[in-house]
Amino acid sequence: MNGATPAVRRLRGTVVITIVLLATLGFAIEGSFVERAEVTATFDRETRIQEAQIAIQQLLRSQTDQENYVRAYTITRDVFYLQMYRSAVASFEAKVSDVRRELKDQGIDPALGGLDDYARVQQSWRQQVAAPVLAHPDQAPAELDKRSKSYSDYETSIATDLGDLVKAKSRQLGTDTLAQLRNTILVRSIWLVLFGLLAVGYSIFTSRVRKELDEERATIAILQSAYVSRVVPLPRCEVGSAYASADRALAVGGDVFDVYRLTDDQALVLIADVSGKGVDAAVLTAFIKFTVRGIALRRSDPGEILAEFNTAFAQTVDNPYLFVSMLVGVLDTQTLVLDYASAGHDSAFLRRCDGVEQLAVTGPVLGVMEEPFATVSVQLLPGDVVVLATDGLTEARDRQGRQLHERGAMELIERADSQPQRMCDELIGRVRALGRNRMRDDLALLAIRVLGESSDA
Amino acid sequence: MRRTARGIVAFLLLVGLSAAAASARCSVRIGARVALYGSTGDPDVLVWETRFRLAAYQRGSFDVDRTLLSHAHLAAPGTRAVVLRCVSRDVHPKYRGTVGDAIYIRLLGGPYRRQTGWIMGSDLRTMIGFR
Repeated sequence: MNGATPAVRRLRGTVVITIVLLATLGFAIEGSFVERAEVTATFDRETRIQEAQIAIQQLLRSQTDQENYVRAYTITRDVFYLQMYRSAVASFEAKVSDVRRELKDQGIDPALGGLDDYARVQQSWRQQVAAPVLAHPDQAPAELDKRSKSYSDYETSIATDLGDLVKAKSRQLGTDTLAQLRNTILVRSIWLVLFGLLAVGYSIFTSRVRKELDEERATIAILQSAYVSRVVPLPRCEVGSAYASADRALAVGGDVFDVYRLTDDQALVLIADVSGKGVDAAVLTAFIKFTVRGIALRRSDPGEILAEFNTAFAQTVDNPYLFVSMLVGVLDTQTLVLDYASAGHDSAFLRRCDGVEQLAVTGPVLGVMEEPFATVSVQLLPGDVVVLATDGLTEARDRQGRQLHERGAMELIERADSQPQRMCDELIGRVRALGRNRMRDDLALLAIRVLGESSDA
Repeated sequence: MRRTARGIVAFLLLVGLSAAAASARCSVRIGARVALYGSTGDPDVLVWETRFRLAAYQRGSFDVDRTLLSHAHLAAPGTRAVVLRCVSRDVHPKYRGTVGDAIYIRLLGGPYRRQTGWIMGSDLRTMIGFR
C-alpha cells in the first residue's frame, strides 16, 4: 500500500482538474475584459485623433480668417476687423499648442516638424505681409498680395500634409487594433476550446470516479456482509453491540469488534480500530478478526495474543502509516475473571455499581514497534458492565468542536441504561445528538454485562 | 537637303509624340477654356513665367518662394484662360503626396490679358461647354 488511498487520489485529481478548469474559465473571461478594454482604448485614441484632425482644420480656418480680416480692414478701415484679426491670431496660437500636444500624445512625431513649419510660416506672414498692410493700408503693393498668396499656398500645403499624416496614423491605429483584436480573439478561442476540452475531460473523470465509487461501495457492502461482527451469547453474561458509520465515510471504516467462544467457559473479546478507511481498512478488519481468533485458539494470554498478532501484522502489512489500536480480552464465564491486554486502546471502560473506570492501556499501538504487552486481570461482579468502544466515542465532538474525551464518555456510560444492547443504542444516539445527527468518525460499541445469581444465562 | 528634311520631320514627330504622350493623361485637353481658381485657402492663382519656376515654387522652401515671386503674376479667381499645353505629372508639391500637372495657359481676361504662363492643374476649373 502507499500513503495515498484511492479516495485521496480521486479527491486530489478532482481538485486539480477543478482548479485548472476554473483557471481556464478565468483566463477566458479575463480575455474578454482585456478585449473590451482594448476596444475602449482604441476608440478613445481614435476620438483624440479625430479631435486633432478637427484642430488642424480649425488652424486652416483661423489662418484664412486672419487673411480675410486683413483684407477687410484694408477695404473698410474698420477697427473691428483689427480686433478680430488679433483675436484670430491668439486663437491660432492656442490651437497650435493643442495640436502639438495631441500629436505628441498620439506619437505622430513626424507631423511635429510640419506643425512647427506651419506656425513659423504663419508668424512670418504676420510680420512680412499683415503688419505692413495694416500699417499702410493705402500703400499695399501688389507684391504683398503675391507674397500673401505664397504664404497661403505654403500653409495650406503644410496643413494638408499634417492632415494626411494624422489620417495615416488613424488608419494604422485601426489596422493595428484589428490585428490585436484578431490575436485576442484567437487566444480567447483557444482558451475556450481548452476549457471545453477540460470540461469534457472533467466529465469523463467524474464519471469514472463515480463508477469507481459505485464499485467500491458494492465491494464494501459485500465485505460488510461477510465480515460484520455478530455477537454470540455467553453464559452468565448479556452482550450488546452497535456500529455507526460516520456521515462522510464512503463505507465501512476500520473499526471492528468480536466475541468468540474459545471454549464452553472462555470467550474471546476483541475491539480494534484501524487507522484509515475504505476497502483496505475493511479487509484489514477481517484480517484482524480471524487472525486474532486463530491465535487465541492456541494462546490464552491476551498479552501474548497481541504480541503474536503484532508480529504477524508487521509481516503482512507493509504500510508504515497503518497501525491498529486493539483490546483483546479472555473472559472466563465461570470465574468471571476478565484477562485483557490493551494495545493503545484507551476507549475501554468498566461500569461497576459505584461508578465507571477506564481499563488501562498495557502497551503501544500495533504496527509501530515490537513491544511486550502486559496482561491485566479484572474480577468482574454481577451487574458489572464491560464497555468497549472505538475512538468514535471519546473523540466525538459537538457543533462547537469540543471533544467528549474519556471523562465525557464515562459520564455517558454511567448515565446509560444497564441493559447492554439498550446501552449501546443509547450511546450511539447520544453521540449523534452531540453532533446534531452528524458523526465525524465511525463508532463501534460492545457491552458485556455480568448477570447476577438470579439472572438467566 | 533631303536628309535634313527627313531629320526635321523625325524631330517634329518625336516632339509631337512626346507632347502627345505628356498630355495623354492630363486633366484638361489642349484648347480648353478654363477659369482660374486657387485650390488653397487663397483663391488667387500665381501664373508663372516658366514651368520650371512653377515646379521650383511648389517643391521649394518658403525662402526660395520669395525669390521666385517676381517671376509670377497674381491672377484673380475667375480669370478666364485657354489651355495651350499640358505636362502630365510634372509638379511635385513638397507637402502633398500627389503629383500635379503643369498647365500652360494664355490669359483671356484681367490686367494680364493675352499673357501666357504656367499654373498647377489643380488651380483651374473647366468651363461648362468648353471641355
